[in-house]
Amino acid sequence: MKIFILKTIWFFLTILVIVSGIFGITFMLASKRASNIKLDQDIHTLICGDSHTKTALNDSIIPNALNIAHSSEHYMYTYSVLKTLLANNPQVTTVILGMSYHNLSSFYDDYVFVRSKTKYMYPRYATVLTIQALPLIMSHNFEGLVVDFKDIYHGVYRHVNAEDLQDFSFIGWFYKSNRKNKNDTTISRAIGTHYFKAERELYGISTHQLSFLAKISQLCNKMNVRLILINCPLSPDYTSRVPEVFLEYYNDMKSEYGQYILDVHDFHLPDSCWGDGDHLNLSGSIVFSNYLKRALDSIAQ
Amino acid sequence: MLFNSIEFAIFLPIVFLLYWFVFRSSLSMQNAFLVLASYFFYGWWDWRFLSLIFISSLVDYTVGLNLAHKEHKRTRKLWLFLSIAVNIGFLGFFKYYNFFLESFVEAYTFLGQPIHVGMLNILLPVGISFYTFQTLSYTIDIYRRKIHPTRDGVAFFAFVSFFPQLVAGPIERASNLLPQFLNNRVFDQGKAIDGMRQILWGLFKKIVIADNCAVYVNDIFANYQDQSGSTLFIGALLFAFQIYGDFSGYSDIAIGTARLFGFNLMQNFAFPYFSRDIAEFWRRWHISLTSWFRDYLYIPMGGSRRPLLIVIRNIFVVFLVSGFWHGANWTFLFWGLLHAFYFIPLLLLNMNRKNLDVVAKGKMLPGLKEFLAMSLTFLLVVFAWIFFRAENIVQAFEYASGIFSRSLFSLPAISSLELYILIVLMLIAEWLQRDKQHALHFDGIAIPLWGRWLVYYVVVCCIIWFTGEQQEFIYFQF
Repeated sequence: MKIFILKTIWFFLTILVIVSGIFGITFMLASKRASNIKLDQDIHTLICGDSHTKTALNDSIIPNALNIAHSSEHYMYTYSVLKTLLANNPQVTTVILGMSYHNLSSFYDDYVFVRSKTKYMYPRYATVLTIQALPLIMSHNFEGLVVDFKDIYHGVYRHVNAEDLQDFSFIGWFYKSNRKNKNDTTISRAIGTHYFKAERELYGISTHQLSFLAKISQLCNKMNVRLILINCPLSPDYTSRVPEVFLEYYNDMKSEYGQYILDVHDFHLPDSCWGDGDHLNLSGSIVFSNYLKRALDSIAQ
Repeated sequence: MLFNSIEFAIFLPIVFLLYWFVFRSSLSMQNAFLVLASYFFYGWWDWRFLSLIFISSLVDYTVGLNLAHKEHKRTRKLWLFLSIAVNIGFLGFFKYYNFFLESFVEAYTFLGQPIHVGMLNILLPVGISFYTFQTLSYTIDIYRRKIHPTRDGVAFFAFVSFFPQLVAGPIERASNLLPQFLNNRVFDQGKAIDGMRQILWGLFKKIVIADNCAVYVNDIFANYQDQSGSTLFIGALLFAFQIYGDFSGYSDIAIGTARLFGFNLMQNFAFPYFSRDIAEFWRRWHISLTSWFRDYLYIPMGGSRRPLLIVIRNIFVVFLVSGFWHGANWTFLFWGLLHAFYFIPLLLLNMNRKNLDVVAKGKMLPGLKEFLAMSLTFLLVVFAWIFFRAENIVQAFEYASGIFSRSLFSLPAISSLELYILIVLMLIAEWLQRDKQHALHFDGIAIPLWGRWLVYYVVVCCIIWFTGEQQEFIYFQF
């Protein structure tokens, strides 16, 4: 019996060591490559966040800016990406991060803890995830880590030989949306997704989002980088349906992050500028980005 | 919990260690622990259904004891009827109630007299088709005086609820499994090691073959109207391997797990896709179910010892009931009917017991005749699987007719070379070991230790590397 148990342990231990070894070496090589990312010297502003900043902030209009936002990006991932990029790019002096009402919702935590969503996220961000993220993920979604191990390994492996910025999966880009779907259906769908679980039960405020937002703030302070938390334009029809608790919490946050916040959710745009109820299309991004360019200039002054 | 889940990976070693280190000094404690572990395992799916398996076990334990003491034929029949009523009643209600109601409503609507009846939102308890048949075999065998009932209630409850085979078989006979609960188990290292090998092979078939086939099969069957004949054919072929990998993989894991605890479960699959005719296929596929129907339905109806027309009737009844056992859908009935039509010619030509031995025994490769026979049998089985997999009869017929079109000879849309290679490797491994219990059964083969461990590591690497999108075991829905 004891010999059987020892043989079994030895068998699984050998597999664990080999697999961990291969993954460890790959991760080290990929991490090294990621940590050496050099942005163009004339990039002084990084635009991060989720699909709101991804579609609204046109980095060909905002001077010296690079939009690296990714749809549905949780602040845990944003923090990991910023930590990697800011360490090796001292020319970056400003970070514009999307922070709106939906960013406070715990629905966002599904992108960190729920396998149906993390199977896309972990491979994308595994290379840059910080050490603080690992215990959080292991305690909430260990099964996702194990079951999607192969995809996570592939996600890390592709960074080993990455050369250009677009080869790194965790670096997003500005999205030129051609949509013109602002209507009750798209707004209802967005409200339902952002704020309500099944059976119309309200999501809570995400402590993880708040925690990593604080870390981003501390990181920017430490790196002498100005942090601007932008509440991108939202259609009045969308805003009017955001549950009160999120509106109130956001307003309360102004007292904590006041000097950083640029709340332009009520920036007026015609219907033709909306991709849907909470995203701008290309036309809208041009109008808004030109406005933002002037606003940033006046902030700088 | 699924066998290929983290929860089971934690559950199994804990139960194993407690079983052999804490409870081994007392047989009744060991059995009681198995009952506890098995109820925990079953309750993990849905704790509400624990009451069903408990009631079923209690009824059949009581019936068994009374059948042994009663001599009066009518009284004994009544006790047996109680067992059948409870078990088939549970099965009928949970599995078939809505089907019969829907069919009833459709029939009336067809006749121009639409009626409206509220459907019940009934959840199908996992494994009910398996454990009800298992306990029924116990009471029927006692009634026939083939076995004696046990007074050991704990052993009986452990026999019914034994977690490795509880939710998807093999459907064990009391004459085989119950005595193993009544006798002391001694840890056998060789048996345990072979059990681990069988679990490993089962995981390979389920995770690498079945789950990867499922991705394509689901897509093709969901969009069959837009696919070419060749793609539809590939879809049916992949489903054949999906269901084989899924079900035989599960059985291998179940049997291998049982061996870790010192139990021998019956072989449930004996490399059925190497069968040379349909009769042989049914001697090799889901052996525990087909033998159950043979012993408790076919033979009581007279079996083959009746006039030819009665025998043919018996064959049809068994295959139709077997189809219906799989699910409450006309597709399963049609699938059973197809197999009955496949079988009848063999019976009429007295060729249903022709191929009893292992194919190409003692030879590396089959002869041409054997190869053609295997290929034809396989194609017939694949065609029947279309009806098994389709959502409804209309889809099944449309799918089948879609195959037989000019586009059958066009290039299929599915070009997953990796998957085809894995399937071929599985078939080669199983062909080489076709006279053994499973493909990694190395007992009696002179392979050095490093060679065996290399094979294990290769299989593990395949499992890690080719892990597909996790799918539930197909037979859990039965």
